[in-house]
Amino acid sequence: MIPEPVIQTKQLRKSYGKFEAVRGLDLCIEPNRITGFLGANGAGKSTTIKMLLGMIKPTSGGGSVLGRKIDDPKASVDMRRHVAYVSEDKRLYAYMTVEQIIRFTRACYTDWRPDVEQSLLRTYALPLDRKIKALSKGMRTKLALLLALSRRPSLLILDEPGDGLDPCGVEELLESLVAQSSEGTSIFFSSHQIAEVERIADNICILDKGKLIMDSSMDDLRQSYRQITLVFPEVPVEREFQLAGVERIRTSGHQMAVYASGNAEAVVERARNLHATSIDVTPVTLRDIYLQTVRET
Amino acid sequence: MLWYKAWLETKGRFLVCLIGITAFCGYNVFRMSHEPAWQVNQAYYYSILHTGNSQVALMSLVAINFITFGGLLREKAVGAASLTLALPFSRFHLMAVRIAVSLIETLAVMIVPWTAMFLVSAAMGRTHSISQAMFHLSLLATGGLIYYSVALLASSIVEGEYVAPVVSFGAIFIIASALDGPGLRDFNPLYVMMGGTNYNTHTGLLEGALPWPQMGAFALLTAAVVVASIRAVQAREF
Repeated sequence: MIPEPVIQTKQLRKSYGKFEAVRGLDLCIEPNRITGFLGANGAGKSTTIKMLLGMIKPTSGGGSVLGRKIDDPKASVDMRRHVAYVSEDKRLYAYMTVEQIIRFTRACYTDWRPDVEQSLLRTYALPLDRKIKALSKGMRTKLALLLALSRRPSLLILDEPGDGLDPCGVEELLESLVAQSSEGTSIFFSSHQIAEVERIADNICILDKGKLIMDSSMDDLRQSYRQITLVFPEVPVEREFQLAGVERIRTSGHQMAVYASGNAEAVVERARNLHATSIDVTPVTLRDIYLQTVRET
Repeated sequence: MLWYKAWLETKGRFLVCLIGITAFCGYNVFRMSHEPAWQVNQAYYYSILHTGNSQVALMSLVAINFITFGGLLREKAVGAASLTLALPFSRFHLMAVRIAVSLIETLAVMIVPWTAMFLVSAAMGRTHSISQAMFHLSLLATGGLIYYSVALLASSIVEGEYVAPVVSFGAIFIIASALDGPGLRDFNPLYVMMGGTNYNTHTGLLEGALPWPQMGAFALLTAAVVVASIRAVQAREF
């Protein structure tokens, strides 16, 4: 049996006047996985997340989160009982103290885990009696994460969760996310920290100018994307390497760099046939894939 | 727990208003009670309380604005709306609790100062009639409802951290000025709050029946504006 997606959208659109923030988005996020949601500033990531949570209404199209329709206010309330969310803006309630906002949030949900709360309080060293308005940006981010991670939701949605965290904080966050995922929570998070996304994500979705331009598993990306560096006594014309899966070719002197999203074996075979003196095939990082994919569009 | 949040959000403003108005009005009654005129003129004494009521009315207008500003639009301006909207509560629920808490606090800034004035006058040897106090409070609450609903509407449609109370103060001023002419004054909420429809300047007492037409009209208008405010927030995109 195919598990029901935790997030599914069909032709989801959001326009502000003539500007289309999200353009016909078809998302299908599988359960029990960590999905990285990448895109440049203004790509439509936060708008998408806000539509999923019922904060803004889609202009057209629709979708569901945990099987509840996103444009049904009653279903949205029910859905939010099972979803933990950390927004891009982590200002929280300035008038509350750390202790008060924890007490308030704990009382709103039935899936609160006091042991995790205590553990995160120790890890993050948050001062319980301090007003939130007196916390630094990093502290506020840690508190927002504590409020989400102290629960055991079915789905965790994070919008730029590492924003404002130092390297140690980012490391702790990644460990927490992996731990949450191993306990059966599906995680959907947007981030500009591609190296961190690459470390923990099972799936990658890339959004550009409101359109989904990549939806793939990290395993597939790691297996199929390759950077092939070729050296020839006499460089052949680039046309020779315009094979299926080849995304970009650059020639410099006797060297040719081929960037392929698949079919690397065929490129190597062609290079041998053309008497390459050196063939070097290396895997590419998610950062390279992201930059290449976004630049192409 | 939304009650807890609404209380924490308004607590500081509410307590400043409550203590400030209570202390100011209570002290004024105490101070004026020492003037020799009231020893011989009972109407003067009652007029002291009427003056106190007018002070409560004017200051509660300010208090209503301070207590009511806030909510989702202000949270949007300060970057906290996403946290509230991700909670497992409908926008109607969020608004209902906020309205209930701010209404209770609004009534408190009218009732507590009046109770203080009543107790001060009793301590000074003049027990004011409870029915007169209740009459004053009924009029205060009736007119106050209109200003409350204006402040609520402003906080539900105007974005910005402090823009809503400024707009609301402007609207209050316009309402008070526009309804100041002859024939209109009886439906001026501030005039009603100050007891103008029933006040006898000779006795210093409120007389006659409660102004039911005004009370009914104000209650209906308030209900309509409150519903409009809830609808505005429900339709809003954050």
